[in-house]
Amino acid sequence: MADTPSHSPLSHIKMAPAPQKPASEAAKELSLVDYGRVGFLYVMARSGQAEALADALGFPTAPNSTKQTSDGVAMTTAPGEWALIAGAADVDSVFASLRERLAGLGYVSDQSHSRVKFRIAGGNARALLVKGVPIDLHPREFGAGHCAQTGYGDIGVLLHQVDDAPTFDLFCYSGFGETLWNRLQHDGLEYDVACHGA
Amino acid sequence: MSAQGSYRLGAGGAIDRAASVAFKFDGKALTGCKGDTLASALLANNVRLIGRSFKYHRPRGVMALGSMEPNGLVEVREGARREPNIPATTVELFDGLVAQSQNRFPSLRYDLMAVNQLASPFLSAGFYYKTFMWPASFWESVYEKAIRKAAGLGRAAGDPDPDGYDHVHMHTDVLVVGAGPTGLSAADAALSAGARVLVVDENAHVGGALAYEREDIDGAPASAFVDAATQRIDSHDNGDVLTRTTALGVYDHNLVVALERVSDHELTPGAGKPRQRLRLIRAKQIVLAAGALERPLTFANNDKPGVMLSSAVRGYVNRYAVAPGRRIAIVTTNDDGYRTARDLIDQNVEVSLIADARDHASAVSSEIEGRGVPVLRNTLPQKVLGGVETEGLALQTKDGAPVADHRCDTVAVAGGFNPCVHLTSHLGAAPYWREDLLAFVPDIDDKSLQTAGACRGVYDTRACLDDGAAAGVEAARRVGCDVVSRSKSSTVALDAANVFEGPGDGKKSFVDFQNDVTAADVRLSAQEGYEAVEHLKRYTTLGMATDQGKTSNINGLAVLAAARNVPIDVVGTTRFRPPYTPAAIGAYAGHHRGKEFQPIRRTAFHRCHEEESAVFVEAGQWLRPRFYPQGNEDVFAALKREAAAVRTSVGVCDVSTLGKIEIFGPDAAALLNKVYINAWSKLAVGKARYGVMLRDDGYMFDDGTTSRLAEDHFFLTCTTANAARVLAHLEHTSQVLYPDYDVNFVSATEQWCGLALAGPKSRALLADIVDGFDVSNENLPFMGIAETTIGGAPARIFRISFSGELAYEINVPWGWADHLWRKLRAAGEAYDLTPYGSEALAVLRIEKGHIAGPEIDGRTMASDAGLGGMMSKKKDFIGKRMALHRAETSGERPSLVGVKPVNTSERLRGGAHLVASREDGLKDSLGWVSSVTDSPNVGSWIGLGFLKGGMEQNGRTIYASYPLKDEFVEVELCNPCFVDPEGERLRG
Repeated sequence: MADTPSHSPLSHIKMAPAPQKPASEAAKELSLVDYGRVGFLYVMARSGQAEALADALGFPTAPNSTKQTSDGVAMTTAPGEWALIAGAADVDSVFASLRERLAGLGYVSDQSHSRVKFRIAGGNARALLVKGVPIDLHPREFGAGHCAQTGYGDIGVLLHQVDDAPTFDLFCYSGFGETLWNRLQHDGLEYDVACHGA
Repeated sequence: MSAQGSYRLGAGGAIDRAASVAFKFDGKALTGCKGDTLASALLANNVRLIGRSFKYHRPRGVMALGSMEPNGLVEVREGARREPNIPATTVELFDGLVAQSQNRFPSLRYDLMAVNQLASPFLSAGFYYKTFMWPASFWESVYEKAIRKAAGLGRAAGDPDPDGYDHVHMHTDVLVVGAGPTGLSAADAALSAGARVLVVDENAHVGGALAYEREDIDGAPASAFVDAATQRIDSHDNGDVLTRTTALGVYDHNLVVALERVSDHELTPGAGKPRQRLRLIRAKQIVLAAGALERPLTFANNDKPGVMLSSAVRGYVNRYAVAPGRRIAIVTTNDDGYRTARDLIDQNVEVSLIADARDHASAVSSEIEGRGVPVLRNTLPQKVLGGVETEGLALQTKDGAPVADHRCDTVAVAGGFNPCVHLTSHLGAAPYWREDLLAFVPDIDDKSLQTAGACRGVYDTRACLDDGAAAGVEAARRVGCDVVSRSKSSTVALDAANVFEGPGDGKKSFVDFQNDVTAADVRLSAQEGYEAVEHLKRYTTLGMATDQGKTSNINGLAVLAAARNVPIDVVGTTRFRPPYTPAAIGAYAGHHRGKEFQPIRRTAFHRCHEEESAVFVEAGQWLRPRFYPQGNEDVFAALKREAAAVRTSVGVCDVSTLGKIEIFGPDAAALLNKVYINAWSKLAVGKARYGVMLRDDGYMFDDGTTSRLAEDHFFLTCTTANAARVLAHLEHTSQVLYPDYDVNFVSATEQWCGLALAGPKSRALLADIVDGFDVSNENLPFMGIAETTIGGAPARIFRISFSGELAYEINVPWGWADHLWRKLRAAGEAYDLTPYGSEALAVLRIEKGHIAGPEIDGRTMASDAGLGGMMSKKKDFIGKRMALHRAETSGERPSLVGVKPVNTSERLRGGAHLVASREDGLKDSLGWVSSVTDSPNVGSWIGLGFLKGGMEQNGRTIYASYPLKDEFVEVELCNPCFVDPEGERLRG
């Protein structure tokens, strides 16, 4: 996308950026960070090309798994479909490059504007998420590197556990961004959630 | 005497005597201790009369411990937080608690409505059915109002609930219901075996019944075991113990819904805390260790304040250090009465008499007799004596011989035990009768649920520990842990008399205390033919109160069995249903209330609309601008101004909510051929086409325009309401119907936001904002598309029109919405650009005769809407065969027409029937009016509708009948396209 200012669902809310804290300290609390828009590319394999595509791009194939690639974090969302999370600044070049590399293998659609990313981190992150996410988030079942297409309350989200702090990224449709943010903020009140911009 | 109540014992209990708690009951300031319940604190203060009964307004007091309490119901808290029908036994005492008695007038002690008791011969079972039959019209206007005023329980708060409720999702290998000895032992064992374990218990404390007993386990007080086990489970990474959490119901696939009372033990919820939390627990295995409830005996005046369950009397002494009376008589059918006697004597509370229904001694009875308590064997209670409160007890031997009246202030009743079979009953498993236990026990053979301990008739504590451990190990084994099964405990026959009711006519012998059902009512029901247990329940309301018959059901069944002269197992049981205890509707609603009922979805232009003072309308989850009022304009004035601007100048409308789907792949066109009725293979790159989809059954499903961006890339749009359904339809078509198609889909609804720019000046305005793109009719003709930029923003421009005017739909990525809007508004000043909302949008499309939701309502076919010509004859498509079949076989179908009133000042209404004459009325409806609008362009109301014969009737005059408002309008049939029928404007 051209390099001109554009807005995200929470642009109208002025939020201080998240303070940089040592991981040990951050782990004790609960933070909610609005990343606004990030690079979100949707990659689809053509019929019978899922494995070849995964091989070519270094994408994961196991359900609900993720992999760090040179293009960004690839998450499986369906058989032969992936969400690729790239830096907002790189998305145009990654998109162009993928289109070339995917010739005959599949298609890519730039969905960066369709989603907003929120990050939930700290010792109470799971306690907050279970207020809306119906799947099992126990470390035995869902650990760092796992992803799932699920929901928070009635809002569909793509959930990604980033690390064992634990840190979770949630991607939801931009149109629900403000509603989900308000809900997470409300549900995090009892854990004294700290809310920030990225 | 203690400051925390004159009936407080000098020592003992699990209360914190150092922490006084101030509360009010019926306006009177009282003091209790931390650790009290409202019930224990009232008893400590010698408040024994707590409420009036539902039907007869009989005085009632505390009878039990915990959630089984049928009598001691109160209103708790004030104002918007006031809640009725709360058992005082479940209210944890906190500073500032305000409680009131209920169902009394003018005061609890002098309740005038108690005259109902005098009328009780007339208020027996079936009274309402028999009495208020005629005249029928009196039921709503007179009888029901009077009955409701006299009967009933507490008053609900009239104001919106100020508190919040959460829903929480939980998963576990093993869910243990009940944190008594069985449950803790099961959890401990399952956890040690390597399973994830969750324990829930409705009480504020762990330990279950042990919390009320003075019992040792392995030579130490039971509390040591309870504390150690709880600590072990709760501190483990894979273990959790949740108190104040009631398993309300079990549903299919081991979904257990539990209610956690997060803040009910505090004056108001803490910062950010919900009042209650509904926990949706998905468990691989369930161990039901729900315990058993003591049952009372049925005899006259057994509902009087001062009559309590034996285990409750013992519990108040042991846990709360409260003597429920000064002189306590015990009536029992088993050893439980003696256990109560032992604990009372040890605390120096007088036990004046034990009346035992059995004819023989037992070890504990001999012990108690040896300590000087008079014991009468073979003796049954006949009647409680006294006025408002208990003053004595009349007894009889089993043979009917009189026994001297006995003076006492409290009667402790031990009638045996009812295992808690509620949750297994939720699963449809009927319990079965065990004569050796005199109880119904669960009969469930389920691979994912086990019962353990007292809820399956194992009563001894040691046996419960072993039984729990065996169930815990088995549950762990079933979830894949490597452990060896242990054997379950055996049940031991109960040494008890088979007695449920004392002698007498049963007219004041209460079976269901909360619903005021007597033994005489049950017998009357049987006598009148309602002898099936489900009929009994409905005829008498036995077991239908808020306690669901926890104390009453078995005694009611026993009376019915005796009346029918059959064994109790022949009578059977009624089904328990969730919830186990009453739960606030708010807890089930959670976040689904008010504006949070559904999540709000905003378009990318939302802030722009707010700045333009838009009035929004909820369209599904979306908020869409309905109109943009100027000054004091109402909706009609605004929509007319907005629609007129589009016809004469240029308007802009947010169309972001339309469903948008990117379709990729070499077979994309082939797939579109299957889902649309018209042909797509030959659509040129850079062109858009209107398409209609059918359902399998041949009726119209959805419509919209789809564009070809490349040979193997289409951009489909569909209606807002069907966005998700259409994507699912495409996925289904490609995955199930045509799996060999090489095609991919991704929703693009939120990637691209869209504005419709419509009106004669739209091209000039568009030319001003695009970055050097030629928007002339030659370069961008009707149904043409362009991929270009607007002020640097990537844009897709589609020359399509819903309004019938020269129009464009401009799509930019979400984040460019603000940019596009401001650019348009700045450039639009020169053209009098007018934002228009969904109201004007509807006016414009009805004027143009374009169909929308009201026309595609699931009952109409493409041919009905004048689109039959679009149906390709050369290809197959979904719905084709049924559409053709129906068109041939269903006779003359109503088809699309326009209508306008002959008298142009009259209004039309959507939903009106089209009829031939006033006389025929609705008898012969020829069709209906689907959409109407007060058209600024035509100068009167106009409408679209479906009529038999359709446009062949053009020019004819018929009638639009709208009986709901008694309206009857003469209308002229006309072309449904009221504006530019030749389509010159949109092509110009």
